Amino acid sequence: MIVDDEQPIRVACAKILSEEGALTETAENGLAGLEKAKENDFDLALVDLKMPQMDGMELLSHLTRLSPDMIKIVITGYATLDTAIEAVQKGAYDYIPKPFTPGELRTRVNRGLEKRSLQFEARKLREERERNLLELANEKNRTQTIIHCMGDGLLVTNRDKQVVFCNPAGRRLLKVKRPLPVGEPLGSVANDPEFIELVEGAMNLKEGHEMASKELAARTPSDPVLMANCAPVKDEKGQIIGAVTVLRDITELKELDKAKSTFVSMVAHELRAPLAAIEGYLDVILEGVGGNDPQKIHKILERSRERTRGLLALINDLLAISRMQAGRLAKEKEKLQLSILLKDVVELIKGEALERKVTVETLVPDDLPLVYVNREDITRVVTNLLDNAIKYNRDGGKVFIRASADDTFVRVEVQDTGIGIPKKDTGHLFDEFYRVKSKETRAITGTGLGLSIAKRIVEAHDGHVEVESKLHEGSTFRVLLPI
Amino acid sequence: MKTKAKILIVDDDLDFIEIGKLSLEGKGYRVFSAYSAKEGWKMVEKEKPDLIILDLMMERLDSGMALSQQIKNHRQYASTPILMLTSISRDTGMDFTPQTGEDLKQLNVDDFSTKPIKAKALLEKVEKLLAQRIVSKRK
Repeated sequence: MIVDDEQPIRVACAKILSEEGALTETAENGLAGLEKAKENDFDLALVDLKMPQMDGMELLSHLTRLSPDMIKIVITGYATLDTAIEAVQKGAYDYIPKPFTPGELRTRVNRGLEKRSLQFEARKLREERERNLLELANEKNRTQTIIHCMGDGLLVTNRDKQVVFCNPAGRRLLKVKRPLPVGEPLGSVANDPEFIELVEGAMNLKEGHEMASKELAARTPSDPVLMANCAPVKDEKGQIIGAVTVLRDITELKELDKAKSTFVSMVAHELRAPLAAIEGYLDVILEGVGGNDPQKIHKILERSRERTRGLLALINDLLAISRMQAGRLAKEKEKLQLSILLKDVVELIKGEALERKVTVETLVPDDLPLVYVNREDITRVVTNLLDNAIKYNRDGGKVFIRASADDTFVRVEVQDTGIGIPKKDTGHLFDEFYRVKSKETRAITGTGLGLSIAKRIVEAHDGHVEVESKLHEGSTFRVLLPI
Repeated sequence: MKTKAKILIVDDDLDFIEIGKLSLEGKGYRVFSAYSAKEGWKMVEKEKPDLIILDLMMERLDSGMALSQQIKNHRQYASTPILMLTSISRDTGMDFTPQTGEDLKQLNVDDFSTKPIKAKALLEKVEKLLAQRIVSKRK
């Protein structure tokens, strides 16, 4: 925009600048210039000082306020030092005394425009930097929140093994009730010398090692067992300036581990007993210590075979348990009419019942509500209960299998008239390898796993299994399966 | 005389009784059996055996120890040699294995062995204990 009250100057300037590729507007006094500036966003204005209606100085002030980025160059025939200073104070960028040559004008205008684009660039950079700082602050906030909410403990120590930072989980795991002031010695936070050793070790790792780990045993039974992973903290130059330790509560894992090894040792014992017996029998024959009565030898071999079968049954049960643990989630289920399944199992087991002179009575209605179950699993449960009812019965005894339903459950009951279960044993009946020891059970073989498998299966179906028993009168096992 | 000795096996392990019976009967011993300490005491009174093979852990962890004490405290049976057998040390981590004669006395037994025991080793121990008994009787 060119603002000058002399028409020839306006025309000349417009012509020179248009040739440079600029779009120009002109105004003949300050007021007109201000009106134009309100309508358009000019990059640069040439402003004469002496004008009617509104002079250049006033216009400069208005323009500076209206669009601070506009470059304002004063063109005047009355150039004095005072007016130059005043003009600059009012926001002018440059000051060209009249008369000027076209070349002079071009140079000054171009410099002004260059200044303008530099100004923009600088502002953009400044804004970017401010935005980055804001993001950084947000990021810091977010990181802090995350560390604060972590389930694992986080503990940072400096080169002198003083605590620099510890998140709430870390304080909880280390059982530090008070807030931790920065600079607290590690020894007063963790009184486990192994922990301190670990942190020391992490700051002095051998080449190629990135982290040191250690399991920290519970110091009292109420303490958690901790897994501590400790890594050195390095500065930009790679100098070790401290260590960061992540603490995880592995108490439950350890307990699971313990339960597993108890199970393994029980299995080992259960496998050894029959094998030791079989070896014993074979010794008797091979070393000839028992004489060589063929009838005796036959009896020994028969007993050995029985023990071998027991071993195989045990191994099958163990495999069933391991399958159950492996594929617990992916069992195929179907809507099943239990009455058919129950009658099928009874049919299969009749031979065994006949052998033991036990009669099986089936009292099962045909129209039970359907249950959503794994057929193979439930067959296993029912077979096991019926098998037990026959095995632990007396000669000429009876087994009743009943089924009924209410709104929520189908109930299957297997009742026998057998030897019954002593009260002290009923609580352990579903434990792995638990077998009732008595005169009557002595000669009955079993893996000790049948009922524990049955319980696992029923519970995996959200069902429930229970037992009622009277010694010397018989037992009733009841399975509830949800409809 | 020696081959006619009466031996009582007290053990809740059916197979052990069977194997012991077979090997001892093969050597001409008369063998009786009991499956619990309670039954064992009844058999001691009924059969008055010359030697008792006793399992330490039956109904309870120390059933065998209680029975050996009962036997050794009884005038009539105090001299009956007892061979105690157990697999307890390996099963439970509790090691009762006696190291000295003093330990044996504490357990009220004359000899001790862990299970499983080979038929031949069992026979050797039985023969040795019976021989000692004959010697001490002569004295």
